[in-house]
Amino acid sequence: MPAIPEPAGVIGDLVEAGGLGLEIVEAGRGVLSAESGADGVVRVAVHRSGARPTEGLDVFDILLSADPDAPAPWVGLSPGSLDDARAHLEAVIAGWPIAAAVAAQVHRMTLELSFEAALALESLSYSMLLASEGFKTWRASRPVRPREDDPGPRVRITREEGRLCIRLTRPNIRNAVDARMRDELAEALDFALIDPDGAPVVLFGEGPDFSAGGDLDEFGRAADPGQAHAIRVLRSAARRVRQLGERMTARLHGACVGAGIEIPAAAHRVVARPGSRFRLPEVSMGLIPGAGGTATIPRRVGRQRACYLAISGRELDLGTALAWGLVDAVDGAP
Amino acid sequence: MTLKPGSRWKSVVCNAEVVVVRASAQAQALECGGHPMAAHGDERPGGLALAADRAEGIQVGKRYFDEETGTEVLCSKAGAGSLSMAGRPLQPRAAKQLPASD
Repeated sequence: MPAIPEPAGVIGDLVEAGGLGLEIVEAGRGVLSAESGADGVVRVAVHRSGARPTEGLDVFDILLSADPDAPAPWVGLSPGSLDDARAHLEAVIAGWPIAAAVAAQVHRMTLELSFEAALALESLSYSMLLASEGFKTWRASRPVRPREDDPGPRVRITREEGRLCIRLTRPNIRNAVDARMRDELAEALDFALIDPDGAPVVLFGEGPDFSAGGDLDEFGRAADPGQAHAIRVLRSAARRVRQLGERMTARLHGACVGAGIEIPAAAHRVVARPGSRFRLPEVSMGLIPGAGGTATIPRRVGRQRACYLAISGRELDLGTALAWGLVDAVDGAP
Repeated sequence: MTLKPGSRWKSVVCNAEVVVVRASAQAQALECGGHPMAAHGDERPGGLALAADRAEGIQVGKRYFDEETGTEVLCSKAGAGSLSMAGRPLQPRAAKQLPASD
């Protein structure tokens, strides 16, 4: 993680005034209730031992429990890792208070909205963050690497045994999603939607990883956040994957980062190979998930677990992903 | 051969199949591999060979268009033949490239 800037200036004033930042409530004594009324504050409940509260959970964005088997909406950790998880959230929220606050706000709203409206909300929020200081700070800390543009196709469609197979074909950089892959994937899914055979559709990634997510070397290239919003909504892969309904399966393996889990999570069925792992890195870049993840992931795992994944940025292993419902099945077949 | 939108056609010399996405009153014979395509439900006539100058192949999911008549088809099944209309090769239509959105 890059060096975390201390909240200063207006942000520091906002945190001090109670408009941003974090409120942690320790569970265990009586009813859980949050003090903070401000919408910009991320509210976290922590449960260490004893009876786990079952009421008053709705006001919290994230619920951490020391019990690894804690049911939804809790994130089940272990007695030994609870304080580390808490300290990590504190550090992320101190470093990226605006992005964390927006992530929490979007997760509070997403399940109240239709899927399409949830995508629009995410895109509006994301575009706003592209123009914000946190993202500019991240970009400046990580110069774009010069790279030859590989002119080859980013997506390949084939018919195999009655299925329409769509493959991400940029394995040399772990299927990083650039504008071209975004457009080619949208085109491929558009074809799947009007396929006269109505064949089952399977999404794969070629190479060692399903997808490392958005191409970091392209981040910050959108000069106009308004245009970026319009393009993102128009070319949304998650929307098309969702529209394909029961025809759609995503088959995951290796690293599934950012868009690499946000898009597949929209699929009717998600199957992952052993060793698959999942991570949402955007908040620590001053952003939020922007490939549909705040719409797709809460619809699989619930909004509070999704919010934990988005703000913590921590990797989720396959066993937990399966238990939470982010993945429907584990299958070793390629 | 009436190229209605949504009508399906298959090559008589390879596995290619297409769907008409934009029809035109001026549309002429749609060919694949140098031979007129057959209606999707029809039998493939035997004894025809892929024309050597119409053998670049078409890819599933790609659109091909004829500028002269405005006809556009979508390849729903890949094949070894390439498409033409009354002898004019159809051109692949690339999706409009839009700028980065991150």
